[in-house]
Amino acid sequence: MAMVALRREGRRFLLSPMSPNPATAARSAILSEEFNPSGTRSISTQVVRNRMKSVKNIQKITKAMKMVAASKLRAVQIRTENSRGLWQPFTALLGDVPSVDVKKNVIVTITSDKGLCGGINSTSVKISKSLYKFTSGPEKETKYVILGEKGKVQMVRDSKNSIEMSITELQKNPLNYTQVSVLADDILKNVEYDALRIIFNKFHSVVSFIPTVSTILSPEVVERESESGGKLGNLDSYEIEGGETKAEVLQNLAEFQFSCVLFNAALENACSELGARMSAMDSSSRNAGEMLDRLTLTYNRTRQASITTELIEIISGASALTG
Amino acid sequence: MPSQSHHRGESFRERWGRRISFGGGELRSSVVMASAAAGSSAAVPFWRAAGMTYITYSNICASLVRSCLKEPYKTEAATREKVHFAISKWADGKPEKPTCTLREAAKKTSSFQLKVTD
Repeated sequence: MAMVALRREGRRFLLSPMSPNPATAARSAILSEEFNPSGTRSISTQVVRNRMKSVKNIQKITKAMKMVAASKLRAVQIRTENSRGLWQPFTALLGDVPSVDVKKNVIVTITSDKGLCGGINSTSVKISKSLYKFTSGPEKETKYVILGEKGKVQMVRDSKNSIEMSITELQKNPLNYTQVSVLADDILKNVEYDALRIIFNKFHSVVSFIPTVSTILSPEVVERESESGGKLGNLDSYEIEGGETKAEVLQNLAEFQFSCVLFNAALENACSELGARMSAMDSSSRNAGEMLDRLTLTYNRTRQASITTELIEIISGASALTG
Repeated sequence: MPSQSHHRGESFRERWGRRISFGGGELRSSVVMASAAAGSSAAVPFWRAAGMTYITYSNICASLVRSCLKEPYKTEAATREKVHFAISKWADGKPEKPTCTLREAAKKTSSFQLKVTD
């Protein structure tokens, strides 16, 4: 990343004044001494000036990216808060039990396609991997479905045999329910699952994103769990319209629940991505500003040193002539 | 005259590949699908028997409602119908070529022509 390269350059600046070595490559030394035909030496400030210009440009770019992310965030945040009402009735009805013990788990990880958004993708991937370890065991099978380019790249490194599907280019058009529901449909058709666990970053505020897991059970598992009581045990006390048998109702509910939860999760992750990008770009601009201050000091020192050298040479030359 | 229309979607064609025709309010399907929910009971809704999931059924209904809107709202609603993503299945740790990006959901659902007769 650009900022890492700049930080490396900054460290080199701090080191080189301590041990000036004009013989070594001019790239690593700020003082590049040139020998003019008349034998006088002039210290070049060109290198420092170039660095200052590029750091200033980077600062402008990161500031602009922060503004863009902030403006996009406002719109997506409203939609996210509105979409929370979609899955809350489901959780009230069917509960959300991450500790359910099932044979076939599918972990759906939602990450972003674009980078420069801080650490949210790494935390999602880390949690997916630990959830994989948690749900694996004898006779159990766990698979990944990955949304987003960044997650795919990280997962491919060590878990590529457990990846079932990967989906990218989700945010080409603004997220809408139709798109996410078609995606949910594709996932449901192509994977066998007893429990789906969706991992995403929930948006709490512009600076805080909490990685969350939402668990959705397949209708058969819901039947099984309802026998053991609890929230699901009360399902029979509801009078449900729109289905003849309980199994059919549960299947409709499970499909619709997955679609709603996935929609909300995608929106929350998009919000978190924008918020994380805002804070990452903000700290980048601040770092660039600090670097610019350090470079300015070095530049001034170099400039003053060259003026002093010239003065000394002139004066000593003059005194040699008169003396 | 009932209209014949093809099943939409590649995954449908792979799995079932049948034709469904809707006409005059009654459903004539050439093959009755045995879906998991139906089991042995005959009281499955027509869309489940046709192989649709609840999600696809509700999407079709939603796009029908959207097409009933009048003009300025109709184009606004059309922006909410755009579907685009690139999905690729993995086999043995290798991704297959991503399947072609999906067209707008409206195009998918327009292959069904429902005729409502009183």
